[in-house]
Amino acid sequence: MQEQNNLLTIIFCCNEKLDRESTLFRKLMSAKLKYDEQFDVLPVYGHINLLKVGEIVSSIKSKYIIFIDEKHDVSSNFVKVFIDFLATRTVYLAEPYVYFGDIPAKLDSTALDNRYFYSRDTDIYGVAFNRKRLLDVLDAITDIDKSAIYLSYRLYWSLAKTKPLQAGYTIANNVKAVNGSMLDPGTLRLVPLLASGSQELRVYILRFLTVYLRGLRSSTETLIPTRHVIDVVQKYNLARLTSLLGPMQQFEAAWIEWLNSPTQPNVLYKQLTDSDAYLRFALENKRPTNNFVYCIKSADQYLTIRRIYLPHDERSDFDDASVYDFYSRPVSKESTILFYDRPLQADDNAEYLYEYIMHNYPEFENCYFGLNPKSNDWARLQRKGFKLVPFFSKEFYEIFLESDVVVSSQIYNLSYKGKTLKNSRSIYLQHGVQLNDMSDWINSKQFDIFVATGKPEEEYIKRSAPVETLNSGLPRLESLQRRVASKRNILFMPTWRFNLNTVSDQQFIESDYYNAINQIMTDHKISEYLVANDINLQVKLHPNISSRTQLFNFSERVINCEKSYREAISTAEFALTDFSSVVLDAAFIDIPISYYQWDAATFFHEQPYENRLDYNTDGLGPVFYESSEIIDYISSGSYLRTDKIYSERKRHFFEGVDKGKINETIVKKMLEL
Amino acid sequence: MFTRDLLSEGLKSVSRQTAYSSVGRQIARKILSIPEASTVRTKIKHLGAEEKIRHIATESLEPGYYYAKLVIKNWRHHLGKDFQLLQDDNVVYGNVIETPPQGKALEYRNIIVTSTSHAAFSLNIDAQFTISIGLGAFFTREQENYDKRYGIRRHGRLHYAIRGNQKNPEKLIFTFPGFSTSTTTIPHVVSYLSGLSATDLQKTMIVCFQDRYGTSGSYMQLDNSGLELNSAVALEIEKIRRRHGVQESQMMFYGASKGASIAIVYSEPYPEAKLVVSTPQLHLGYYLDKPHFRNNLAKTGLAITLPQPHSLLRQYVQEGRAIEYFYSSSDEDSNYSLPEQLFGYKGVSLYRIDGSHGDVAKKCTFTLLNIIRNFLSVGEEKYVKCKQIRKYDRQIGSQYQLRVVSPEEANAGTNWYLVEKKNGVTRNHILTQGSIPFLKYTSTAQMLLNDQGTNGSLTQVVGYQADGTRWVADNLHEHPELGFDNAHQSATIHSVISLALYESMDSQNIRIFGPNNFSDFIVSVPYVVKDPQKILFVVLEEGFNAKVESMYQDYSSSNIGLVYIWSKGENQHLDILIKRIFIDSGAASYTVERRTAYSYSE
Repeated sequence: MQEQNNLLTIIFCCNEKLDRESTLFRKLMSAKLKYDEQFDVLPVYGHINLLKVGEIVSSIKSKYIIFIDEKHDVSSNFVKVFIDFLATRTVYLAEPYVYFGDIPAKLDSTALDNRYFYSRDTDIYGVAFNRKRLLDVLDAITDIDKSAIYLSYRLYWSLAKTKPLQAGYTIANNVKAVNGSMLDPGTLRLVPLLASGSQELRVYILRFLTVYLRGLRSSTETLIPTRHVIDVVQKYNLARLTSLLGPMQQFEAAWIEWLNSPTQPNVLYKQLTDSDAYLRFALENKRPTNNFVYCIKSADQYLTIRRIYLPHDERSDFDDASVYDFYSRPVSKESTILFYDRPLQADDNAEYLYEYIMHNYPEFENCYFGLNPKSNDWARLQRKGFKLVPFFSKEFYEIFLESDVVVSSQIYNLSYKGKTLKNSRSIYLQHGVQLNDMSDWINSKQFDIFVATGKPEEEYIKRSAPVETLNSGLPRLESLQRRVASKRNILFMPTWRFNLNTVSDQQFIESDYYNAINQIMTDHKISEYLVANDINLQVKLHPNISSRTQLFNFSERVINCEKSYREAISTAEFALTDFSSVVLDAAFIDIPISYYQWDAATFFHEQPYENRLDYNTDGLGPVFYESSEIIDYISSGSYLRTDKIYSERKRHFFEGVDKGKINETIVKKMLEL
Repeated sequence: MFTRDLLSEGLKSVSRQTAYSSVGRQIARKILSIPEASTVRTKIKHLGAEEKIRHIATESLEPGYYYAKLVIKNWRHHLGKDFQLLQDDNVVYGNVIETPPQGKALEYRNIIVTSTSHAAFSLNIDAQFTISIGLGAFFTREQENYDKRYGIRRHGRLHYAIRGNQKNPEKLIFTFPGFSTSTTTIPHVVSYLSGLSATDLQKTMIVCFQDRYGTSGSYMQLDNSGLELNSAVALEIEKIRRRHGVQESQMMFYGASKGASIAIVYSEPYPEAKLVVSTPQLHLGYYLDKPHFRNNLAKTGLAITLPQPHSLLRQYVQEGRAIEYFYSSSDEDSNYSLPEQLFGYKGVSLYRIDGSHGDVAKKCTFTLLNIIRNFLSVGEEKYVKCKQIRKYDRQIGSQYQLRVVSPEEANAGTNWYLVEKKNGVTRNHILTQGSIPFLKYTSTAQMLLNDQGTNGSLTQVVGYQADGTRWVADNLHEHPELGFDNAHQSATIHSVISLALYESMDSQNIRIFGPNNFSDFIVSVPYVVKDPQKILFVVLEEGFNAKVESMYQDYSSSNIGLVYIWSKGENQHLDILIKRIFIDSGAASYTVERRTAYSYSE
């Protein structure tokens, strides 16, 4: 590393190679025009751990140091603001406003409240450390993860409050908060246990802990003793802050409640109709064989977390007149019921169930459907006679408060005037069948009924929610029918890759993802087949890449499909995907399907979940890994041949679903809640 | 008119005795009656003589009597202790040492003494003190500013502020003040009803009386010389009524706590008037028998010589007067067990509020404003729905939880009640607002006893909004939860309407509503002795289930009354209850025996 002797060093962290064309890099370098003498940008490559940070910090000479990750972004004034500030004073720390989404134009409008603190990532990135003081901390504290350096630094130097400079930094996504973090091997403590009454720091520690616990659910192994985690929770009084935890973190909220009072093993997780669901935490010396949701190995013990059901009178607020029991009124024709799919897009299971009730249970007059008025579906549903309510409006929340049950294909952490999905009824319809293992996700959610499709999925969901699972099938399947279109269509519906969220268009074009899809779209054999048989290839891109549609090579026969999924599927003679579960709708109505998984070896490394089914042994259509195979399969028209293997797999896959009674089964169950 | 020279010269030359003589007092009062903005008043102010004149103008005492101001210095060492101020060997004042307002000395003003010698005074505790003695009453700067702010003026021996329409009012409201805290710098307040605006009062005049006597007031019964005020107050009220030709039915008397007791007394000549009272002290002898008052107010004879609010109230309910009565079941000191017995009397609306004595008026402010605004004009009645009721059975009663769907506007500034009806009259049990707007419930301190709310007597939920609107849910009959429930009827015969407690017992068990909410005591009298010489109280611990009849013989031939009391453990109000029964019985003495289950074997 070259010798530095200036005010500030920016450590630019890259995965493999430096993308000098990236917006971020160019933003940083542009400040050289004015501040060439005051700062340098030094790229470092690969994974950074505590040791590596120590090496970097020791090897440079500048007074301050900032770490920036190549996937993150900064406001265009970032370097200027920091240098102007740091050049005139000596401080322990200077930091920007930190976000996980876009950096707002007016930073001042960001309220520095608990919500901001809780959403702020506290990894090492974006802040200017006083380099020598950082060295002091790294000398003193050697058993933490790199991601705890910022917190430890503030605790060590008692930096209770900081005022952000007028510069913005974004980590560009909130995946870590959702999926949790994995700490480096050898990490023995989360943070040093140094006294601090700072509310800001306590909230940061809460977030750090929550993300760690979430990650622990996936890794199920840690060297950090449970005793230390208990000490962290109790020392910083974190249990009092758990209302800040988000929708994906209710499991962690319960976990923290237990860590706060480890002698109370049962933590209420979800109020239900016949009994209530609790998480039971226990420290055991031997690994139990089964019957647990999680078994986490720590330094010397096993922490098991089980889901148990206990009578209502175990609840501390049971029989308390000051607490309203949202289950105290039965679901009846008098009930208000709130339905919703995605805010901007209906046409999913909630819409179909709503419509079913509208036609078959007209006496239920207080059903409402949540939708964003800007949605293309608004006018369509209005014409159908839906009682629409703007999503997340005051009216929406008032209806939620009044409602006896919420029915949705999407789970939001609704919370209004004391009513939450924890203490009230909700039916989760899902968007589609879960082909991936999303047990961690299911365990995070709170619902009364979880709709499954077919016995295999029922059994898989029952492992997380034995009482709540209902194998009725998805409401939209009941009315789904194969239709003869005026034109023959093949449907291609590739799903999304999380690691491409923030890359430049150039990097996107260079990705395997783009190339695999575009190859199918432009292959001459397929093209000839389409022309010869007068078939269109309808490509339905994932909504996350709608802004990059123009990068793909559409043509006369290869069309950007703008139809609804339902319409696209019902008029297709063949449906192709990589990993998307949407093709199961096609399989349900006996349209042949197939999988083209060009990156099967790495796909699940980048995803927040793992493969649940073996596509080769359980898939409802053939699986291809090479482009030549799928091209041959399509261009030869082989997809039109019936295969008994897949018919048998389909029968097993959808077992238990009575196609004519999907909605009726759900409504009956709803009325029993 | 007085010239500057005369005033200046006069003040300098006349002796203190002259200044505080009847003539000096008249002059001073005359000066203070001149408008404040006048030249004379401005000059007096400039001379710094205003305070002195005010001092002279205040009530003078009979010859040989003086006002004293006691200042206790090292009060921190004695916090919570009773103390007595002695003049020679006689107690002239007593109280409990409490923390004074921040930055202020611990002062007790306007103690009446008969010596000007400082050496004659001592405290019975080892505390440093100073005493100031004078012919004029002692008032703080804060009190004077307060009087000024509210426009309180002297009218003969009385003091009051006037609000609203003073020219041709069609309605009159008389308000009477409660106690301030004993160490306050403003001991003499008025009940100003500041929630009412000039618009509200277009046709109404409010007379806010000040109880400006002694250290903290005298229930407006005695002035500082110990002379009765009763006739002066009654005359003033009648004079005001006649001056404006207001009909009796257009009068309202209002007070809270001490003010409520005063309101009961002075509304006596007006059976057509509306009486609105919150936690009145119904028996002053009973109420004042506590350290705060024992050596001051209790010594004035208020409890013996004057008409007691409880007997007046009994008279009023028999007459069918319109009474709005706010009380708490946790306020037996004030209640004297009477409010529960008033239920069912035509004209009486009861408002049962949870909380301590001091909480009641604050908690039901919206209700009070609603009642007054409905007195001033007709308020609007709007309807809401009670969608759900849940009953929570407890050992001694029930809690209720209600889901009342009302528009958002109904929830601001509104007190909600669960209404119980008997003989067409109401007892309103205040509901606590839950965290969810539609949730309202009776708190644990507001539980309905087993004999309350039965037989479908819970008929409505009513919200009293401060602006005069009443929100009514009258669909409670749709909820079967409120039906008669035999299972929860207690075997105990509850309080019956009768007045003198001891005489009413007549071999029955009576439940006494005490400070711990419900049935703190059950009292049983095996036989009644008229005019007993002595009462024997037998205090039994709760759960004592032996046949008490066999425990003691019938002492009636010895003219000794026998009273059994079941008590929930040690209760500070037990002594008060015993004294109360003792007072009612008219006996000369009493003794108390305590019996635990352990101490008794058959």
